[in-house]
Amino acid sequence: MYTVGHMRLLKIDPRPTTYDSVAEAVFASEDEGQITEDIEHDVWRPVTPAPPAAAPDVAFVDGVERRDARVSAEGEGMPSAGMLVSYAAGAICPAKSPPLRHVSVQRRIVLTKGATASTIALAAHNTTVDYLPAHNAEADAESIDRTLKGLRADLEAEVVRSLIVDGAGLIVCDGRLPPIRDPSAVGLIKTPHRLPLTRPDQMEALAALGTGQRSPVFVRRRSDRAYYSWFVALAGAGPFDLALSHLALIEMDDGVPRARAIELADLTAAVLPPYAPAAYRDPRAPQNLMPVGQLERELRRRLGDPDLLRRMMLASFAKEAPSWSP
Amino acid sequence: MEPITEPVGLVIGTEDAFALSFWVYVHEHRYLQLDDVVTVPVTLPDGQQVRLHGIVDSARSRYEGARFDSDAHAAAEQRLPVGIAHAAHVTVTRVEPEIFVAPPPGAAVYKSEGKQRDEALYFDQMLADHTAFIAGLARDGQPVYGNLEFLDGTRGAHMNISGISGVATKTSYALFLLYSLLHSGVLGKHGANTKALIFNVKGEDLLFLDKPNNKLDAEARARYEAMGLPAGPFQSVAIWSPVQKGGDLLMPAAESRTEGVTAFAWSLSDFCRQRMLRFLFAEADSETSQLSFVIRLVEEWLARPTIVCDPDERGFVSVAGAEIVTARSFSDLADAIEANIGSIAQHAAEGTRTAFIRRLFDAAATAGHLVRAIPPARAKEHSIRVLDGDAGRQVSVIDIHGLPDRAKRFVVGVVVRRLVEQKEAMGQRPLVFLVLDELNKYAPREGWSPIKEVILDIAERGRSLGVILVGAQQTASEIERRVTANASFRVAGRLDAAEGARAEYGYLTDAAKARASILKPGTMFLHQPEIPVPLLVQFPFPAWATRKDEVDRSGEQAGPALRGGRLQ
Repeated sequence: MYTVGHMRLLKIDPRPTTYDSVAEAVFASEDEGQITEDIEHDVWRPVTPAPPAAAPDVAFVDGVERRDARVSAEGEGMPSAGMLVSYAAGAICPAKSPPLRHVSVQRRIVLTKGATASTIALAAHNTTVDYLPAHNAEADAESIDRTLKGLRADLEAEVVRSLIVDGAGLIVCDGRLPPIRDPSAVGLIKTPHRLPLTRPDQMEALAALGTGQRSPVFVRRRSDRAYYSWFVALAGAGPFDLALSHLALIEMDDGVPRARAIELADLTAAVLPPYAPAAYRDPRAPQNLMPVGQLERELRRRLGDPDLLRRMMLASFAKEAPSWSP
Repeated sequence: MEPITEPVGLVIGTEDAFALSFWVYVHEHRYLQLDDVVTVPVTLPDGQQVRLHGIVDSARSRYEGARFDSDAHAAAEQRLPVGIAHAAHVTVTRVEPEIFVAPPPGAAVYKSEGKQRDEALYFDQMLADHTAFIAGLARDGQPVYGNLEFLDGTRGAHMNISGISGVATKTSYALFLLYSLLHSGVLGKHGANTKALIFNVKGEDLLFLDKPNNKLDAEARARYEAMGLPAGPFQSVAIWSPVQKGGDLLMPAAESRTEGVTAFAWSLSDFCRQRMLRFLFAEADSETSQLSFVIRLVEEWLARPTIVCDPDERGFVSVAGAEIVTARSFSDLADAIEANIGSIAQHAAEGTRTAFIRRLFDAAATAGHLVRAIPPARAKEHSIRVLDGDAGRQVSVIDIHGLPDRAKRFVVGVVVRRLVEQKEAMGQRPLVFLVLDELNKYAPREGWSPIKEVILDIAERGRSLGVILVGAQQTASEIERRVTANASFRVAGRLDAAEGARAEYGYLTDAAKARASILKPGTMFLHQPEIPVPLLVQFPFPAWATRKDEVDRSGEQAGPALRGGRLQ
């Protein structure tokens, strides 16, 4: 079935279904009034930035989390759920030696309903692994996930602050921008669930972006904050690729001058595409930038071997069951 | 050298560490190279201290965090952050005390110097027992020792050297070793009387052992000094060259050197009495035919005083066969044998007799000039004397390079058998070193020959006889197994890769085999019984001349003893 200028096609997404996909993204509804489009250009068209005068010193920030083991606080009425969790955050600066910066690994024991446990200390061959108590007053098991995500976000924000102190030229946070107002920090959203677009022609303009090009800068309001946002084409779109699958959504604090936002938009469009992995390298290509992939692998490695930790926990709990207080 | 007390690395835990081999992560600002000696001190749970010594036989480096080959490019452009890890594989040489535990991952690894290195390579015991002889230098300039007890017959004997001709420098190493043994004093009270017999099989490069090398530079001298050896020529050398073909005068055939060279030949009478005939038929096939039977009969016949009488004053012998004839030369003797072969070997088949005669005349043409009429008064002068007389010369070089193969085998067979007979009478000490290149010609793997019998005899009884065989050949796989198996010291220079893969080189580690195909001249792998891994040794530029143009002219003028010589 043909329409003029368009072909109706089904495309297959090569990305495994366990990852988010742009195929499931939805348009923001027109009446939301959350998007201000005419910040840079009235009409959406590809922007081709000039190459930067000097390559900035780029730092990528990411964090990882892992649910190590479930616990159940028993002995007083209905048992309450809990979890032993590990999480880590850090930065990687590809041009620096050593590239890894501000890496930290944390472990917590989270109990629901405001209960607390004492520190769980596991003795490994070369060190002690401590799970510190963390607060969670809610009752549902899902609240543990929220607590963990919050802990991880705080740790990532901590890393960003350290990088600002270091004077990093461009800080690219994997995912949403942490609640930090800084003219050098941006968040890179790999797969937006809600596309900040209101018209089909915008969609076409984005689909046509070539490597190193970007969309115009726009302002997007999300919950209580507003961000400068723009799309960057990390790779060229192939004929079989899903529309928009070659883009990343970048956001930064709206408290900076507009000129700075445009400057940073140009910079990201020029600087980020070389870091984009080829499809064979990463199922989340091109958005999962190579340094971020390395950082994530390293952070996961530093979380320790999960099987070993679980065995140590079982041995430790069997030897002396920890108590908890409501 | 200042001892480095900082660890050079750590035992890795990403690959298994074994009691006899393990990998070492090398610290960022340090390095380990092949042949480095390292030590891992280990404290056992019961408090005992164990030192694992080893030698680096493989070194690798890799990107950590890279998964694709093309990551090298991404890393070079700083798009992909990576780490670099250097690691070295260690083969354990010694564990002291002998508690064979695997080093725990994370254990500190130290580079071994001085006493620690001596312990790692068992040099400490050799040095304490005064049985350490200099076998060369390691690449870092430190001496590599061999245990004399495994060479002099006490616990083992013999050395076998393999390597491609031209680049393996087998003879050079054999000579260096001999020089080290004879000039370092390690042989003790027997040192002065220790003898060496060297066959010069290629070129005339061993005819100048007694001359200083004018191309020896200060650096090479320093290397000799580092080993505690004088940098000079062999001190006591006799040079023997076969007599020239034709002519009645006994002139040496050597071309590049005439002074100080003695022509050798055997008299007709000695040839008959001492039963040398068999060595003219020393091809490896004679046992399989009836030929050896005929040879024995003819030898027997010639040895009978009633057949071949004592020589006259010119050295002629009369042969009393069916007719009485006077043999003035070897071909006369051959004629007499031919005339009487029917009665000597009456039970042999006609074909065998014909074959014998055909070969006899072939031998007469190629080696006949070495057996000739020599006046009895002068016979001793021209017969090779390794042990008896010749003013006690320590090293005898016998030049056979210009002779056809049959004549070479004849000379080697006669001389070596004589040596064994003399040593049987004399006893084990002092030792005689027998240096024989192209061993495959004399002790081939297949077949039998009278020379092979003599060489095998030395290989198997040499320890008790005091005859130490330093044999060399291009390929050990072509040598009789019992000869190589009896050699305590095995040396490999540059090897062809296919040859290196053969079972004869089982003493080389896989890494050593791989390296053997790229060894430079002057570098060898030395394996000795006490040390489980072969050691890489280098040896210095010869301090003696190996060519005419290396002969130190100034030394020649200064030393009147070297002029005039014993030219016939």
